[in-house]
Amino acid sequence: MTARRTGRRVADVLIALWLPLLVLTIIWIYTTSVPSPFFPPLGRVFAQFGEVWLGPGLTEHVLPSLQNLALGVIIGIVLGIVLGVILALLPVWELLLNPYLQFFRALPGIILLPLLLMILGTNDTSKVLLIAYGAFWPVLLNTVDGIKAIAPEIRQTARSYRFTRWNIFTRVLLPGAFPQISIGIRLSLSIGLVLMVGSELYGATRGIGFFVLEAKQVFNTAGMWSGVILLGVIGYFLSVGYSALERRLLRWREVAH
Amino acid sequence: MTTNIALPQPGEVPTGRRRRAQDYLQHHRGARIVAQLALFLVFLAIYSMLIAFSPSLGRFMPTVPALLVDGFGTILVDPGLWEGVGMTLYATVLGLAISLVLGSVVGVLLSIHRNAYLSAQFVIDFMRTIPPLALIPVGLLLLGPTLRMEVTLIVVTAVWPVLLQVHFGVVNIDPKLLETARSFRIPLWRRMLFIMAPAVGPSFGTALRLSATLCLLLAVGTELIAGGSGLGYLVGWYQQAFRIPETYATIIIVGLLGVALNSFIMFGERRLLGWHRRETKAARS
Repeated sequence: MTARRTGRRVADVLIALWLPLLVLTIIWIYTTSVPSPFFPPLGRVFAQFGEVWLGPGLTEHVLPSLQNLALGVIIGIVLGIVLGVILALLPVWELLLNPYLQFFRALPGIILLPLLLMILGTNDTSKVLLIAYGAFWPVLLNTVDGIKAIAPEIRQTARSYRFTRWNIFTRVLLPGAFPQISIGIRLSLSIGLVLMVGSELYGATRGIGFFVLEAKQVFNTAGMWSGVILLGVIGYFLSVGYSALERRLLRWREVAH
Repeated sequence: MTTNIALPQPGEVPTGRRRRAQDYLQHHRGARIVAQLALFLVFLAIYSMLIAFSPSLGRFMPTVPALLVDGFGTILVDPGLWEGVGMTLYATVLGLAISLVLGSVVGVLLSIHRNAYLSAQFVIDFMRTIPPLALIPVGLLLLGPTLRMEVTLIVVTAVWPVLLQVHFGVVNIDPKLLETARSFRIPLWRRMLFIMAPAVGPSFGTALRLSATLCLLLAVGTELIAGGSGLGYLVGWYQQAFRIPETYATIIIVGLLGVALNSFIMFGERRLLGWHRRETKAARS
């Protein structure tokens, strides 16, 4: 019985891994045997990866990038939740502000970059603000929807038990809306990463995106691909990491159901 | 539980009044629009005061008349703007269309067998988490600042949400529906058209909304960073020429384009998937 179960598990791992390994091998063999300036051998890309990103590039480019991302996303999420709750509790204002919210949500954040650079200069503040702007909208709109979806009886019950405002916020509204807010946070993480890279490609002097662009300009294609791979790795771990966090934060729901 | 006794509730009075205002605005479209326009004027007034009292901000923000006359007045009669709108819209729609077709096909193929998705999962997850703008240098190197590069980047990014949503839409079809259809010997093409397509419809709608936003972001971002043509390029160009009213006006046009795209998709979704919304609402109440 246990042997069969281990067999099943081994099969699952093999099924999950054969395609990535195959793709990797094909790219490896192809790039090594057919030399092309655009697609350097994968071995060289990995060598560059170790040399740049595990060496001086870590403090020079990676950490500033990640710091901007973290600051921007946190500011966006906190503001989005707070203003989203306020807006959901003031339905008249939500109705009146709706066209303006739709406009700013539809405006692609990256287009504001030239303005921010002009007003604030090419520094981290403009980058953080851009990321925060992009992260803000999905959280705001999902918070409003999540809170409006809480059954009114639940809020009335909380009120008749004379919960304080703070308790209603932290114990009723926030947990009740969190599954929906979480969808917004997931979106805002990926938008934040996109804007982080974008802000480093336009008028920047450091950061992973800047390195990739510069590597392309001096025709260091191995360096360029290593940067792209690094960004993929960051994105992947951001997504996997948030999934784990989300599962922990929503564990109470499984018990309740 | 219908025998509620109406007790006087002092705390309820403001809520009641607010409720009445809300109902009124919800049901009177004219009143709502007037109120929204009034709010717009308030925004404009606050904005103008901000500029008037802070000259350092005023250097980078146009006054309202300047925005209207120098900004919109200049760009709306400029054929370059309409060319840009056309380019951006063309790249967005073309990229979106290719992503929808490609994503749907692969998404359906992956749902044929459980192992098909499991095998592809890691590749999909990795590819879809690469921040799309990071591929701009790669695209520039391989294809140059062309429309082809722009559309390729859009597809490489926007295909993933479609693929995943279609895949999960197909996987989550109620097996009873398919079994019933099979025991009635309904031919495959009718099964696909009348059972699978409507069942996948709602998640396809979600994919469409997500992808359209991504497509516009990618189109404008590529144009801004890689240059070439289109609205993103225009904004960067106006900003570098320090023509501030024009910069703002073009950005506003980008936003309006986004709103138009969203409303168009929402309109289509309501027409095609209205039955789904009614059904789920009926089930909830």
